[in-house]
Amino acid sequence: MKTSPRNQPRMEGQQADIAPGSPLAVVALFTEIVRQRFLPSNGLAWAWYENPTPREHDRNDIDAPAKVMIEPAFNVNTETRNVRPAIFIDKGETQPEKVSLGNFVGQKLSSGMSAHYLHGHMSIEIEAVSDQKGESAILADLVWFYMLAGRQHIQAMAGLHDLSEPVLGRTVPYEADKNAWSTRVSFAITVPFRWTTVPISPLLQEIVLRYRQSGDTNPDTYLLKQYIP
Amino acid sequence: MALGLEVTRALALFPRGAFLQWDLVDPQEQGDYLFDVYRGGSPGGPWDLLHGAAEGIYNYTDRLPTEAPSPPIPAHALVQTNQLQLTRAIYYRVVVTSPSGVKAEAITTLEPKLAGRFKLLKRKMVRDESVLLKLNGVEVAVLKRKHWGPRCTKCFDRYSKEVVRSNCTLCYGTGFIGGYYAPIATLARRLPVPAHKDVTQHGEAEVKLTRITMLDAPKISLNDVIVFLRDNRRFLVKEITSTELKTVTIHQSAVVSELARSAVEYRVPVDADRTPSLF
Repeated sequence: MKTSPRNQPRMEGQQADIAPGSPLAVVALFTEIVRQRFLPSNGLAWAWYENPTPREHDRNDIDAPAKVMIEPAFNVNTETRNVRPAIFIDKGETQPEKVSLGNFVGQKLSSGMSAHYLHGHMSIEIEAVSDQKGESAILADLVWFYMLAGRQHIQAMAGLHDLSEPVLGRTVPYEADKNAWSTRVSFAITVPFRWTTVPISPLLQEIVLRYRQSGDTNPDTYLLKQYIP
Repeated sequence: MALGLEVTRALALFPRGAFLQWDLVDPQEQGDYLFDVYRGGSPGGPWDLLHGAAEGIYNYTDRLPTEAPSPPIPAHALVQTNQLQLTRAIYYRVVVTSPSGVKAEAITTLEPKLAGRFKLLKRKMVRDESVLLKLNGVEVAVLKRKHWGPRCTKCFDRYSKEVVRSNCTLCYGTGFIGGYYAPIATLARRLPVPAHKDVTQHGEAEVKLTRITMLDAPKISLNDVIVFLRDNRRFLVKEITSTELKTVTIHQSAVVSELARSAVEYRVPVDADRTPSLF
């Protein structure tokens, strides 16, 4: 799996409007990371396939991997209903944290451009649901240990400032079409955010000043001359 | 009139026993009648023989086993018959063999028996309901969930006592080999209700709770599955309300939830061509 831009929290090939570090980018990133753990080639008792419909020949016992659905939470475009076992990935609030006064890290005096930096903390919730308590607990444990063991690699790959040690929650029942079970894995990530601001007023004043000094009477002609001498 | 058998008393001796008493109907032969008593979790069997070829006995007290089972099945791999659930139905089958070899049988669950005009009244009420069901009911197969027997060898963990595969096709998520007893054919009426759709953190979830009405037999228990054979939609029993006459069930009404299409209960084999034969 690849991120784009490289080493930033956004999956390669995501819709163009989705920016790195934005909610959809982060959820997609962790959905894909969890899916990687459940690829059929990994030899686990559960395997992720894009199509969650049980296969005719799928015996779904210990000798043959059972299908597990892995999707972002609150997803209304999967066209599946009440499919279990499943793993759902969600992101909580983004909490910015200052690391410098005014988030300021530098300035270019000639243009007035200033550079800023801060850390955005986000909580990530991964929920393993199943009709059986035992299955929910095992799936969550697989995810929990995977995130725990691979956190440095994930951090490096996605350009995260930090990925906390995940917490494996209790397995609790919930009511759906029948009694089902849910186990939650939660952790926090820290995404570095960088941006620059350029004050537009000095720039415009400079342009006006140069235009007046040039003696041109048509601003369009003046601007064209800047590029076509 | 042919030889018949009627169970006149079937009383649960909670928490681990049952008393049965029966009588012959129109016995015409002289000699010893032999009785076999069986116990099962469904009126469709399979049956465990409790007492075989007993001469001239007309009652039987079932002491549900409390001792550990003998090898080859270790204790942890077998759950014995028990009465530890409010809606659990245990069935008994008594078979009589006349001196000339003519057989008759009666199947009963643990429920009081009516006598006299109340028996006739019950018969009428059941008949009225069955006429109604013939008009507006449809064919269903009742899958009685297993609550005892050998544990699943594929997905049941003996220490944590958890089923670790919800889609296991050996136990269908019940933890017992086979999962359900053989389907029992009957008629039921299903009320039309709207399906609810909610956006949850698990995506769009659909819940459809409806109510079904059926006759007094087979006795349904919580978590049994009702298969509507005409459209092959399967429902899980969530609540049961019985209409009773002097504590005897006349008909049953249940709140059922339609199972998700991917639920393992859809993989329990129910042959719609042969079950029931009336279809």
